[in-house]
Amino acid sequence: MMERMNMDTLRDATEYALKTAEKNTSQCEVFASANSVRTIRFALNNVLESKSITDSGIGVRVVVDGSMGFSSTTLLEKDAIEETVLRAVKIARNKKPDTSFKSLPSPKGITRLSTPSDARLKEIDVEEIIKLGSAPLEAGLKKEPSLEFSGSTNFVFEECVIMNSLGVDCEDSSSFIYAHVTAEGREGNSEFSGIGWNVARTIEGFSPDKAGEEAVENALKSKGGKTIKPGRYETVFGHYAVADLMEHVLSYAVSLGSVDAGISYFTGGLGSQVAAEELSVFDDGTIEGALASKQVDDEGTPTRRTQVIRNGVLENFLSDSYYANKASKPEKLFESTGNGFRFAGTPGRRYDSAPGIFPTNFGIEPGKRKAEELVSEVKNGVYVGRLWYTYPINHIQGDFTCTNRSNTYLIEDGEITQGIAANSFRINDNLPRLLQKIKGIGKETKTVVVWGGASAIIVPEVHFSDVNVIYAKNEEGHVH
Amino acid sequence: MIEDNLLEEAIEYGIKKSARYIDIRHEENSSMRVGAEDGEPRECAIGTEAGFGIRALVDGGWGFAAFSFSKKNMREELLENVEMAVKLAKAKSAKVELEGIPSHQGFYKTKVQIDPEVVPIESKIDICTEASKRMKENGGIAKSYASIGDLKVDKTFFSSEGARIHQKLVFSYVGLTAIAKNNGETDYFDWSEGKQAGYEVVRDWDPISQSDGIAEKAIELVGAKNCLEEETTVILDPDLLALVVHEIVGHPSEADRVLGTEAAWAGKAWWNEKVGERIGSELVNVVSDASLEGYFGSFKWDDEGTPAQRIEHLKQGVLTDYFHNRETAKAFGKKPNGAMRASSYQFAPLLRMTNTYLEKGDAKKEEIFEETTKGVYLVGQKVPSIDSRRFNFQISAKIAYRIKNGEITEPLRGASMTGTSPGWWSSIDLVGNDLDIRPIPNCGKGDPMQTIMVGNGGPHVRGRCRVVGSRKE
Repeated sequence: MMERMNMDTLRDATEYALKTAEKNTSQCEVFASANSVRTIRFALNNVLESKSITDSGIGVRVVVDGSMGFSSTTLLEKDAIEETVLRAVKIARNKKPDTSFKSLPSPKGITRLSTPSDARLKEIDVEEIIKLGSAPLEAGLKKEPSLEFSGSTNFVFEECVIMNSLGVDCEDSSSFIYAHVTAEGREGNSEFSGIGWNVARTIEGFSPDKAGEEAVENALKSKGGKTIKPGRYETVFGHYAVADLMEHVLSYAVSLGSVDAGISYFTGGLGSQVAAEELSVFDDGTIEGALASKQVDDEGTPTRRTQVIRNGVLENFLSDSYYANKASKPEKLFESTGNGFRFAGTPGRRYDSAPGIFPTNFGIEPGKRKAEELVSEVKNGVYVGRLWYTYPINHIQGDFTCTNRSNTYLIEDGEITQGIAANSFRINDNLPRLLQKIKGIGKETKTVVVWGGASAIIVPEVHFSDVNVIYAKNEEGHVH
Repeated sequence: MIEDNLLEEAIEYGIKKSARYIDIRHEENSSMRVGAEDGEPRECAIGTEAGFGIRALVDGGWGFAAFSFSKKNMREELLENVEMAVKLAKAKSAKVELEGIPSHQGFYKTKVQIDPEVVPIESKIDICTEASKRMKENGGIAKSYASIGDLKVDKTFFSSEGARIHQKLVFSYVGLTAIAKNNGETDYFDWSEGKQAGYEVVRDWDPISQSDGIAEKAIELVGAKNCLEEETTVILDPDLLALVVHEIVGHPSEADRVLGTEAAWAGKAWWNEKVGERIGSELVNVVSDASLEGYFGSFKWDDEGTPAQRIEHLKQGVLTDYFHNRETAKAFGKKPNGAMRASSYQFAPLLRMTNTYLEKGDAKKEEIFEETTKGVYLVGQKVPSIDSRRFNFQISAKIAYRIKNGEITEPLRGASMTGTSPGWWSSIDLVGNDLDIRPIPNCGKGDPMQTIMVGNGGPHVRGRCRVVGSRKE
């Protein structure tokens, strides 16, 4: 058995890189990470592939006379580290200063989490991965074998060390597991579909069966093949649908980097009422046991809770140190909110990019209504549990569009009466507009990791009064 | 460069450990990206990565193990990961069968006029700085960005069937973005160029000379009226058409989607079991061709060792063929057609489009406009949204213009096109004789998600669909 990459080997590489870089730079920072990702992927009611990625490397950010350079490598031998540092220094030396850069972060300690990671995930054997990873599929098949199941279970363990020449010296580790199951079926010309998922930070907290069973329940509830016509609908968005909006249409708008670029629809909006009073949005990397909690961000700033929107009023943007310094003016100072992360490519924080602004546990504070109360307040409308391809088609305006994929139901006289066919309508609307149209927020929150997402979205169901549907198919598949 | 005997040893080890088939990709990749904002240098980064990706087939099950290695322990880590791939393969509950292919041996490298590495990084930074400065100097531009980058991929592919392939690919790209403000409104225009080629991509496009044009478009856009919703005649430029072809021909032509094995995240394909049926007008011919040199989706062999080739997806409007790997080819009774690719050694290969484009027709570009009394000209790709069967779509354009009596008139903001795949392709009545294969740098698929570079494009085309503007109030 090979000696695994561990915190000590990462620390040795980081220390050597920092020592090497300090000789030729005014400031420097080294970030080293080692991640392991195990995936069990299933479709057509079978396990299709089982995968393992173990990846480690080092990223060096240096400052020479106010100019920054970044270089990274997967090779952690001394000669490779020296070469990487030299490349970063060469880049910095050969460019004019970036006048927006003020300083790398100073040490501010770390946020102590009682259980930052589940160490078992690092050494878990293949047989157990296969068993746990296949369990969501098996649970779904056991409950309703007539449906078609697809999805995956991902097991991620990440370790990192961050040091800089100002004295930042931290290490962190996290583990997370997420399973998603899509259950699908057909009734005549129409499709129905349900999604179920389960996320956990530890193997003990992981309930794989729930993902499969919920997918079945939601799929069966979606049967009915009902269709709707284009128009405006009172709509309750389920947890996964709200998470999609948060990840793809809201998170960029609350990033100070987007505000700096002018591509956020919240630019200039601090202190203003940007949403209905019911809405409060936070980012909180410090929640014990929450999926995306970290002790420190990837430039050494301790994580924290940031109130982004409070009772509909925009209070804060998320930031790393660069954009906080860049945006600060005598009349309004910003500081890093501990959201400088390096997410790119495979799951987990990675050595091969300089920090960017990413949420941690990004969420909506729960409201007071039970799920059935939210639905009962809708006279005639729609419940949509899972959207598909929810993207901001015009970033600056906040326009987005998506179609209904799973868990979609018709609401009549305050009750869910039947399922609406999957892929049968398209929503085309504007999020800043919709945020003002919130009528109710549910009290139960769930944690969602969307496909390709790096953050954990903690959300309740949300009732919007007026959602625009521009396209729909009728029962025969003809388009309105 | 990895030593052949190490790969041979690892393959033998995998077979000894009960793999029926095994392949190993070794990659050593490097990337460079520089950027500038408002006339000042910004992000400048160089990265190198090296690792292995191993696929093992055991009793009809796939296992995959990838790792970045340390030079000191490379052999031990490789053998350990071969064993990991073999063990993982035993999780499989379906039986994979592979269509046979000849085992190729060979070397291929991108034709490069100017090696990006020989161009001093300071020169690239200076170009970005100057281009962003020039954009910013246009009145009304609030922000400007310029970037130049390249990627070098050096990969070796060995299989237990005897494939021995070495490919060295070089990709270069350049992009500009201008953000304009006017009367409390903000909007942006961006453009990029990219090819599988050397630094000549940057030299030929000449971002400094393009900067005023990009800034002018952003200024034009921010002062434009919102596009109104209507069913109308539209003309698409090749850049927007590239994304339309990508989303509603390229993706649903991946046979894994057609089979349903990517249903959870990629979705399925509405045209499952419709090969031989009419999807579009007779003017619609969509092909993929990885053997065309110089584009983002070009190569000599895919990541299963199948040679690059031309595939006809839509021939005179009729659905003809999908992308096939060895596994889907066996399932469909077809031959693998060279579309299995992974973003890097970290990922298992997937069916991916290559250079997928609408073939040119007979109409001159000017004639397409002259013959259009009323309509909308949609220019440049922005953001797509497609349902999970790739039937209904909405794709936004960078900028639009009203067409009146054959003339391009006022600009329009916030425009996107929406419709159904058969509705759109059936409406195509004019296809230009121009052709541009555009770079798509970040096509996402897979679990964990991997992004890959592809080429997509076509000529100017005319059809009918619904256009939609911003819903902002």
